[in-house]
Amino acid sequence: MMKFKRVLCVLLGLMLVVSTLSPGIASGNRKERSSPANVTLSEIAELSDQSAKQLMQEAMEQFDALPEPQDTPQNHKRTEYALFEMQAAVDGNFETNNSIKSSEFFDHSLNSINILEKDPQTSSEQKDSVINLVISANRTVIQNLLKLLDSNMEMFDKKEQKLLENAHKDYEKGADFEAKNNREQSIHFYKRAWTSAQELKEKAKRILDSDGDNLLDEIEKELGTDPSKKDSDQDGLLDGFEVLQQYTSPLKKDTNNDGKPDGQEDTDGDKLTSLQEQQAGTNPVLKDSDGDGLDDHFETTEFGSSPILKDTDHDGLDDGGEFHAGTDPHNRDTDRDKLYDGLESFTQTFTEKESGALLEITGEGDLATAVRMANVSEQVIFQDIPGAVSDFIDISVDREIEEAKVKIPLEKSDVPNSDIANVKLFIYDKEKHTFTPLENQKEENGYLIAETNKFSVFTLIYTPERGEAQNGSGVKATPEGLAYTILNDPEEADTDGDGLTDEEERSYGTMVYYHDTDFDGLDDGIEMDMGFDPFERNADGDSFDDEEEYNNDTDPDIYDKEWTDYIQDVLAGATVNEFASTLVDWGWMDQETYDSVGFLIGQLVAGYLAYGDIVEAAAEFTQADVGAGLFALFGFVPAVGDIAKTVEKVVNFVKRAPKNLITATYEMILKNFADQPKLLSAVLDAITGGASKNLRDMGASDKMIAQLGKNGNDLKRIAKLTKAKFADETLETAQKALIDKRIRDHWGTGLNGRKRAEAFGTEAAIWYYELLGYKLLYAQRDKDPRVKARTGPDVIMKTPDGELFIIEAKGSYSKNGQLNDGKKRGARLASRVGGQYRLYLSREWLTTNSERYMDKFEDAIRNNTISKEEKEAYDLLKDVIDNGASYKSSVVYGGIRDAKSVIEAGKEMDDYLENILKDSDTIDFILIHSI
Amino acid sequence: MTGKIQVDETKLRQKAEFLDSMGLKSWSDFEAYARCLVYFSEREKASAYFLEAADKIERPLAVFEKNNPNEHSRLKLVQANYYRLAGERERSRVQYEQLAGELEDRLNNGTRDASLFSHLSYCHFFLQNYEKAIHFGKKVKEWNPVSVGFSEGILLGDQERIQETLDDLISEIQKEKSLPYYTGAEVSLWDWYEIGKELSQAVR
Repeated sequence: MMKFKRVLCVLLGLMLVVSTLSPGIASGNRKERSSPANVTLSEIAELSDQSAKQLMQEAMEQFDALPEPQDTPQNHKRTEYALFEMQAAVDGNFETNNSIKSSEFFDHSLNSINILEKDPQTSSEQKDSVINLVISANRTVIQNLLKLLDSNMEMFDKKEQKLLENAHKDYEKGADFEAKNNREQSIHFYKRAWTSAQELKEKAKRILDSDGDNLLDEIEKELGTDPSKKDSDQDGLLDGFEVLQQYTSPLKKDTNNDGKPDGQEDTDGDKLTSLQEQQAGTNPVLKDSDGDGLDDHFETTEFGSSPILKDTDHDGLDDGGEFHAGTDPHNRDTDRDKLYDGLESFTQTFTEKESGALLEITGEGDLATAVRMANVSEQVIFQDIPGAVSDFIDISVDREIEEAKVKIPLEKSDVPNSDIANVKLFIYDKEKHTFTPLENQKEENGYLIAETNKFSVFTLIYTPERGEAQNGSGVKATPEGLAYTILNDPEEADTDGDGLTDEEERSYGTMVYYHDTDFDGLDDGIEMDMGFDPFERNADGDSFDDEEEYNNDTDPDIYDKEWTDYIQDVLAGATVNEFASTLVDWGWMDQETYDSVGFLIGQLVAGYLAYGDIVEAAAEFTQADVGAGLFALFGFVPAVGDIAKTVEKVVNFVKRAPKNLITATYEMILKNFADQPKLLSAVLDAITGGASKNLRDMGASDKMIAQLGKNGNDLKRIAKLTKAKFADETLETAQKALIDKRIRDHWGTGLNGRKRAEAFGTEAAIWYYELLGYKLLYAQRDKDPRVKARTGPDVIMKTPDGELFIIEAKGSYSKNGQLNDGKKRGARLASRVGGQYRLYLSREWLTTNSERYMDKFEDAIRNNTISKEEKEAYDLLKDVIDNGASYKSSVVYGGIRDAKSVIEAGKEMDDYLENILKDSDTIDFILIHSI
Repeated sequence: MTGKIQVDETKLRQKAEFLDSMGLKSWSDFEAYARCLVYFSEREKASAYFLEAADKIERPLAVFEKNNPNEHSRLKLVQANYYRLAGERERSRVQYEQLAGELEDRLNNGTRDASLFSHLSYCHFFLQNYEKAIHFGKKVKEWNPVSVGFSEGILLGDQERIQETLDDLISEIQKEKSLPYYTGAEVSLWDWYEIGKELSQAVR
């Protein structure tokens, strides 16, 4: 009878929990409050639409943005300690975004507020803003917990209900004090309320999870594990640990059949078995659970710091930094000068392994994350530097520093006559293409050493060979000093060999004299071609820089989780399925997991595949192939039948997922349904609210529609642009042969990838429109002997009705082509003209400084070499520029080689098309894939 | 940087000769010719050509008046610059003032665009409302309107800021390979260059 009652309670509880997942929780509006004096009790009672974790994060960000104090306070009165307290409140303490593990959260929050309040150098307004966020976070934690308990009141007996009532009273007192601006008392009562409520939460969890293995009884029934046994398969690991953390089967002692029980596996290779990880509370699939740069094993057995706290002593220097700096991870102030270790300056040395070059650098905190060194000796631009006697080392430091010394090994045998006295350490100016010697150099222990406060490429140059430099063709030594300026070879279109011509680099704003403007390891040409940002090393700010994203085949503009997060999301979707919201509420699962695309994938796959099979498939994944492997799971989703079921799940997900995940959903749809036309079509129809039908009528393929969605475009907005047309063509063999011939005739042979892609884009555009009856008047072709414009319209044609038709032709050759828009650096559909970015094909782009291309037509007119068609093109353009005549336009994007199957419409195309239609009568957007 | 940039007079002569041979018909022809004359030190004649350009640009303005407000206001800016270059200060001021009002109205109606902010900054620079020129110019995230650097230099009497802006401008002219007779810009890079040189001497 008792058991029956408990089950009834659970079911009732579950129903209530589900019913409370109402918009009230998820999207309560946070009111802007200008000052604490304005806070009313009713405002306080509203739930924030930000989670407690986000509020703390925002508080820390606001703190970081505070102006530097004019006078440095005494060591023990530093305001930064407030930030360290906020970090301590968060570090290792959140089990989900609104749920905390211990009451220390409130203590650290209060400490931070007290420090801030006493700081005389920060204005009240600035302080209040940060403090309000911290208090809001504290309130949000208890508000969410009380709401959860209220909706599960039936689970508690009378005594427990009384405890809940008291918790409410304490919360109300806290809110009352908050409204009166008594911060200390408000946090005191919020903490008291939380302590009582947490006791009840633990009690409820014991009911929902009767064996205490961190897996809901209901889920255990679903999966087939024993709800009364903590470890159903007796491998030493709790069922919940296996399902939610280790990703092994709780029904099989040795999930991957390697002869070793799951508890003895060391999945993350950190020398701790899964069982040891379970005991230590660390993450069994991450070497470094707390992300402080030190492995779990090293922290627990050697260094002695906490493997689950990034900064064990909360002194602002994380454990990795303490190790590098040689300080005590358990002592905030290792040298006892009343200044926390996180504010001390340390000297650290970094090495570029290939050359042995060293950087000795002094600055606040751990500099390891701020320093990057790379050997760039292979770059074409450094091949002919006369007298260079060392490698070329590029160094960047993304932090303010106090001092730095560069030390480059000096090999006597590399220097003519061992004349090392005439070897100098030079720094390269990437903008001016110049090497300048650093001051105050000395030779010591086989290194040439110089101090520097600027960072770029460093090298050693034997200076007596300057004479050779001056006589040589490519280098000029300046009259004063020892600087070298490398002169441009006017015939060389791409000086730095990064795949972009100098002309293009000037237009995009990338460096003409350095191959990798953002120093992320990817040449500018590749970044531009793939739609990456050549100015940001890590465009989406995730844990992978652009080079890693390139190698992993992921999108540099979409935040990527750690690979384990993906697995977790998928398995969570496959296992907890309909119980997900309950898990989120009780703090067993993060809202982000519930709202992730991986979760949706898991849910979808679970419909077709047994849980054990999914776990076994996941067990095969490694970090390297997780992207491909994860999506390969979709091979299990049948191509026919059950379409309605799949569509329904996707639609439900899209309805509840946060907006930023919608683009990721499109990506998932593209990756998984592209080869299932019926399913793709049905999903697009269901999630685009009718826009996909209009877009199809405008000529767009389903793949194109999904690509536009994936790249964040507003499909409904594009669907309203009735004068826009789309096409997505794949060439047949004969068509490709025709275009190849045209490339040979008009561009030559032996073209590099970039040039060939450009030629293909241009010739494919001409081919496409000639088939529609358009007449070619002019094209920017390499072998064109008459008009030699390198800027302005790529192709000019005349429509069958005699109207001017202007084409912007683009081509890609690498594995992830994408066209992005935006009047900004790096966008491929805008260029800098007259000091501003202007959209290709817009009137201002055609009209401003039109002489940049019209002069070339005029040269041909002057020399009498212009053809009849070119003259017609010139006259029509003149009419547009001078008289405001109308024109039509098109963007044609061609893909060859690795890009042929992946070229796509990129970001902000909605803006681009809408803007061009203000100027041009029509705009086409055509993708042409080679075979 | 030296703060100076070499003008290729041969190219200017070539352009003027071409325009002479074809006959001047449109606003861009007159503007290009006027700009050549400025560098041939024929200021007075240049003024007349700028005024002719201002007159001829009415034709596309009439086309855009109803259906293309962006391009209409952009060409109005170009026209106001012609008046300024022709020495018609009052006419130029009135047009900048009127344009600033129109652009601010569009801003108030919700239009948010880098060009709009940039144009507003230009208008206020020439109206000598330097604080407003800075205010609107700083809203442009995608590029640094020249008007901001010069306005800051003027307001603070900061010679270094003006020189820095002038150096950036020279670098921009070199990067774009822009020639002095290029037409159709709201304010040509070469106009800003001349303004910068004057400011540089005035503040010094």
